[in-house]
Amino acid sequence: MKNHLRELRAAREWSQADLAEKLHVSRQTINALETEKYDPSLPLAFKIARLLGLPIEEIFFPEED
Amino acid sequence: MRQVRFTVPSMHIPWVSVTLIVLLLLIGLISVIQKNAYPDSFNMPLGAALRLNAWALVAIAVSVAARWCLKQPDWAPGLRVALALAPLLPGVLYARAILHWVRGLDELQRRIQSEACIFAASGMGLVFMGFDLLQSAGLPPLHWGWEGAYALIYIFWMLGSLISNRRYR
Repeated sequence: MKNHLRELRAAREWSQADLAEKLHVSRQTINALETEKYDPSLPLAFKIARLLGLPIEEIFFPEED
Repeated sequence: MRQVRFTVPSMHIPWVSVTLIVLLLLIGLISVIQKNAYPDSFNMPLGAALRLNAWALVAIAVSVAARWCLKQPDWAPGLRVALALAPLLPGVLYARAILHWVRGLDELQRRIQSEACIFAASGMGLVFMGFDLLQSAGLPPLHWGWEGAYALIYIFWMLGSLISNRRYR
């Protein structure tokens, strides 16, 4: 799965550590999400969407789109 | 007057276990260096690390003491059974500390730990399988003791954690 997490985080001028703290996850998790090495669980994806104020499909999308 | 003699039973030193425990300490040192080099790669708070190591050390100490006591031949069978099983209590507390730590991790760290556990269980199984096969070829049996088995699991778990962490870095 692909995502726009890095761009969306940068637009808010948050560091990876800032985002990790807001989501109560490790910075390694944020890095793994941004580099698309790890797909989040549905609860974490909803948490990210809620924090960024966007629908999930505007953050995460399948590779063929 | 009857003379009371107190004899100290000789200690059997399980060299395989001792070697593995020395290796374990070395790997522990490496993990501390690794933790300092990559603070996010190995998410174990100091409190959890201390609790885990403390229960492991208590289990080893109780086991050594119990083995020494069990060399006294005239103790009641019930007491001998209780002494033999005494290291299980700190062992259970050690397992509880691991579960408590894992439940506090985030989802990626839990996945990394799951992969590390699978690596450790598979590695442990393969090592024992290998030694068992070698014994059928004439190699003398190795006395691992439970300390040796745990040390080996710990070594494989550390390796599994490092490999899995690297994948998600």
